[in-house]
Amino acid sequence: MKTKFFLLIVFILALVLRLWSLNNFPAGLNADEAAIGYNAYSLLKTGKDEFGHPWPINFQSFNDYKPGLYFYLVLPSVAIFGLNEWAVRFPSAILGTLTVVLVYFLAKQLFEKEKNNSLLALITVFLLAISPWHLHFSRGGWETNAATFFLVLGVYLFFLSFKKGIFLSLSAVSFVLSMLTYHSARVVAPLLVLGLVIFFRKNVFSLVNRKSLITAIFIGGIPFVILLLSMRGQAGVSRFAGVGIFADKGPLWRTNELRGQHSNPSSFFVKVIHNQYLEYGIQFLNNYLKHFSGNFLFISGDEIQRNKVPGMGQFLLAEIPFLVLGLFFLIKRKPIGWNVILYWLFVAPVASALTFQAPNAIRSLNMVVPLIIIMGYGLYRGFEWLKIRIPLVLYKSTIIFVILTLAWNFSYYLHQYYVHYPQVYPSAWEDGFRDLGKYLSLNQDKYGKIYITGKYDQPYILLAFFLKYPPNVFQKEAILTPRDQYGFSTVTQFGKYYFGEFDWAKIKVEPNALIVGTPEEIPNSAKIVERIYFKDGKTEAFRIAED
Amino acid sequence: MKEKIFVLGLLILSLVLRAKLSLEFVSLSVIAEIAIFFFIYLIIRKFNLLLAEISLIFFAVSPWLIVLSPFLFSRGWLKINPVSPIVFVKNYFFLFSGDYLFYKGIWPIKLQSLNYQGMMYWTDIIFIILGLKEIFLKNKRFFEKFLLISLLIFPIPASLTGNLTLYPLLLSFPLIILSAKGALSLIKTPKFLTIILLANLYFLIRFLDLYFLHY
Repeated sequence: MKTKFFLLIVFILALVLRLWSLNNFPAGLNADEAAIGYNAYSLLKTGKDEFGHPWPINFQSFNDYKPGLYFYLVLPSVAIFGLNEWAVRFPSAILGTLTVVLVYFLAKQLFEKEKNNSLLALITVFLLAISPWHLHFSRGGWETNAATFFLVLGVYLFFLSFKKGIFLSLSAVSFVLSMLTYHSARVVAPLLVLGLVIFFRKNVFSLVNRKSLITAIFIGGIPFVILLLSMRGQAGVSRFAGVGIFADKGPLWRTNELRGQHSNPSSFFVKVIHNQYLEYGIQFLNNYLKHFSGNFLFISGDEIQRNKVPGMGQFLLAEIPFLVLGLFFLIKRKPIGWNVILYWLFVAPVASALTFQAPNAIRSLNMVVPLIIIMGYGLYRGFEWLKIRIPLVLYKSTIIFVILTLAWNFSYYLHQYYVHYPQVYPSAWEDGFRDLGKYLSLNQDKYGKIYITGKYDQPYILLAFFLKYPPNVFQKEAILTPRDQYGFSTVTQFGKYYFGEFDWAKIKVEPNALIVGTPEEIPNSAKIVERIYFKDGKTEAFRIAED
Repeated sequence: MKEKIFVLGLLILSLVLRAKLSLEFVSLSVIAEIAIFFFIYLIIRKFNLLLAEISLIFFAVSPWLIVLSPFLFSRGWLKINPVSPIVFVKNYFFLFSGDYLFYKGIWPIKLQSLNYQGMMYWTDIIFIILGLKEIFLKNKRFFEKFLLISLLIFPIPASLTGNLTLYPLLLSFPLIILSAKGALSLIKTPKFLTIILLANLYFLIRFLDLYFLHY
């Protein structure tokens, strides 16, 4: 009874932290979120995506073919709340909260033999509820967060299937759903399933279970075949070609450089010592290890502004001892699920290491689950260890000390997130387009052509989103450009809107045109009709000028 | 007798690798380093003869110790910038990162080709993980306890001073002994050990090529 009460409190805490002022923080809306929202809106209105494909499984979007499940989760949300930031982010926040609840049951299941496993599970989910990493990606329309939810669900249902066979099918479906949600899950989910099957081969392949195993393969197989079919052609390869490790030419150059330093570059010995297979292997290993470095986890976090809060790592600094203790006790005591947790921890960053921007907090988000479980276990075990060794007064004051440290560290994070994040990285979330959309929808009739700067990522989709541009018109007008070096495309024109870099000297003579640019592009001498600021209120996002 | 020849041979090998095949590079620093190897060998020998021998092999071929051998009495040790607590933690983590240990490292000499060599070999990851497992599970004896504690405290001087080129030399010894311990734990599965050692040999040749030929 008491446990349920505390679980409810943690649930409410998680929910509040994830929903509080969701449309204003993070400040702005990024291009991927806008694409999700606008495609969902387009599906609602016309039954086709922005480029006129009816009900796709992978959305073409910026030619990166985003896996589509999250779009469909946003669909009802857009139908209820309308096309705005809240609607795009709401499903992710809810799934994030549900992940917290699921991890409670998962941890309870994993540490079944522990004396007080519900307390242990409570500690774990409390840490997850306040985990900066999970919190950051629950707040925002991130597909990766939804994929993590399905992975956790899949693992939990797998454990349930030991008691009731039907859960095995549900588990299989859940894993496939995660693969339909995000690219990196397409690598991690099969690896995870493989590991689970190997660790629990006795349970999975037992005679009693045979019927449910066949059902699971059959039921999980149907969506899997759909997934495979959808990945034929461009959809399957385009993403990896753009951001995969082979898009990074560094190892190739390294090989050539080293070979060139030999007097006979094409001899057998040189080819064996310096070749691109080795260099790409080293690159992969290095990318992989970066996800486990303390600097990534606790000090500086991801390098990309959109994925990080200034001055924070992926976890709270105060959690370092929990991780060390957790690993120590996990290896020492070997509770039932210890091998699953460690295995999950090791496969979680594989997909992320296969791309060239490592370490990447988005693609490796599912690492947060094993790490938090280890931390929770460390905290719980650490106190159990202390309990019998020190006097009660000291024990209680240690608990208070730990709680105070965590509370201080977490409030520091909240402070950084709500106060400093929009100030330090004002442009990280492409803020300013909402105000621009408002201004343009009031004034667009006065002008024949409207030029929008290409300085920000994919401006077309953000504008279509905030103008609520009619999807049936957009489908006819929008044409994707050829791919750039990273494999992304964009749209340079729809209606009277033109996007891209422009030369001020040439463009200012154009009659009856409105020009929206950054402060660097439009000089102060121009006839500026409006300035739009970032959330910090100081930095200009846009200047709007007439001819 | 056999043991004496083995040790002597390894000490000579250490000298040859550090002398870059010519006597002008033999300095007091190189000799001092080799003396330290011998000294450590004598200590470990009291606990485990086989471990001492493997450690000595690993000392002899370690890129870390080969490249840093001329710097034992260098003025670089005087370069000290006091750091803030957060930078201290950052430095501490950096010394244990894959970037430092295996991928690039930070070397005291500016040598283009060393950009592609970490302080240890990539195969050492396996040895280090196995070694950690060993000392985590069987840390009843003084030796294992000391190794564990030294792994935790030896990076402190480097992190405190912000001098990440020379001070981490302290850390190299416990890490290499740890990887030797990992290699020793594989001795019951000789096939697996041979495969890893062959891979290790490949990386050794690669390092020697990077260090000597690309100089």
